[in-house]
Amino acid sequence: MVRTPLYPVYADRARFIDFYGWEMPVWFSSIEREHMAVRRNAGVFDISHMKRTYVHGKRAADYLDYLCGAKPSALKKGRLAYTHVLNERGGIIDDGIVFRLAEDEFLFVTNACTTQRMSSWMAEVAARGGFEVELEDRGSREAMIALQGPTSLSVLKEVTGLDMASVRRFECVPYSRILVSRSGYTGEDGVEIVGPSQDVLEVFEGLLGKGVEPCGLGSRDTLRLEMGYPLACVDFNEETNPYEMDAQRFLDFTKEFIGREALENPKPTRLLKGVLTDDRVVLRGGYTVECSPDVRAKLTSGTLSPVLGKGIGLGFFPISVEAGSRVNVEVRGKTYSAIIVKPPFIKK
Amino acid sequence: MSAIPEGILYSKEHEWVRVEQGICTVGITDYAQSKLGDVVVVDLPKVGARLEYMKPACSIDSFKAVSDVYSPLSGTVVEVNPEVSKDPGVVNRDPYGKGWLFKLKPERFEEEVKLLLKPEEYRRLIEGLSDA
Repeated sequence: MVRTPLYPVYADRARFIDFYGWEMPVWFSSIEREHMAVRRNAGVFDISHMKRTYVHGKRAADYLDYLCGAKPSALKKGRLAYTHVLNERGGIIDDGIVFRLAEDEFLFVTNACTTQRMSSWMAEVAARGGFEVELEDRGSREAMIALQGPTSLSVLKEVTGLDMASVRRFECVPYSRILVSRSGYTGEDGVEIVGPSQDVLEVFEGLLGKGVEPCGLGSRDTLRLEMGYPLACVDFNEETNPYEMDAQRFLDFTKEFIGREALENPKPTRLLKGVLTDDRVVLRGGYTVECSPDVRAKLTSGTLSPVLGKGIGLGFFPISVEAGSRVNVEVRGKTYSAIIVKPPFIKK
Repeated sequence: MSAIPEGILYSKEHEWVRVEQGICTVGITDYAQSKLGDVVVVDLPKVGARLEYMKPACSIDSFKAVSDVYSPLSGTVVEVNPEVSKDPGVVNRDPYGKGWLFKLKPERFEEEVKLLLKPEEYRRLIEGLSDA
């Protein structure tokens, strides 16, 4: 297994899992404690396992417009955008965040589970379109952390002197040798920090020194599930298109992109929806949801919401199954009643 | 390092058994709770249920996974711990005390008790597991 540059900081204080080949902390103290720390105060995650590709070149913006559903060329310097990367059939190869760093330089942060697929796909698309871009992966020379929670900005200022209060959501600023963006995957205010490993490690240790809760991938998952954020390789894959996740707003049809043709006349027959149980029960991917005697669906992921104390899950349902519908979830031979909801499960 | 108290017996599946006046109290070990992480839901057996030696008796959900709890002895459930339904985290905080799961009246005590592990045997078992 591969370890991130921050591994030495927490080697003896975390439980680890194999996350697509990365030896990552799943929890430090407790998933529930870490989850609530992020909702109430602040928590910090090592997210160095995520794939970071720097795209350089005169035609970097054109290349990314062709590669992505969104339109990175429309971003001003210092702005970020959420986007999908699609195949010709309009299926989602990956999702990620594009940062515009300069006129001819972008950073694209994508998922760990698709690292190999994205490496080859990004190179193939560059060659196919003759874009002459340089795709740079700085590997372990760089690290990335996410500081999340309502007190994130004040503790960041205490540790680094950087005041992000005037920086808007989905904007980034360079600071010394690191890049700090107001973004995240938890539904809370906060920042993501990327830069040379040693610099990021020092910020990470500084945050821990101020009592920021170290958080693992366990709480990262429960936090994103409460917000209803779908996860690559778990909730969606190349057989899923953005319409099925109600994510067509991230597609920009004012330019050419791979998958565009397939997505111009979509006829989605299913939609990603949330399931919320009445009782305290843990939902998990693979559990069957009975909507009516002849309509069943399977959850793609689920958990127990630490905030609600109820089971929450995501899954694809026929369009006819609307929010508010009563359903039953089968959990190891028992049936629990639940309701279909449009995520997020908690209001932020 | 996991706590392994004296005076109780253990199963290979990480349950413990305390025998008092012919009634056996069962819970999961400190090692088991530390591996599971936060216990968030405990699905207890019903009073009166017949349990069989090393067959699933009930289940415990942590955020990560759902795990079976095996009955370390055959017998009939005479009592369950209502506290663990209300506050499942007690299984993490006090696995050998307030976090007990159920009590049973054993049926084949003499033959099955020999199959359980003494504290030092259980210690050797978990030391042999890579991450004890």
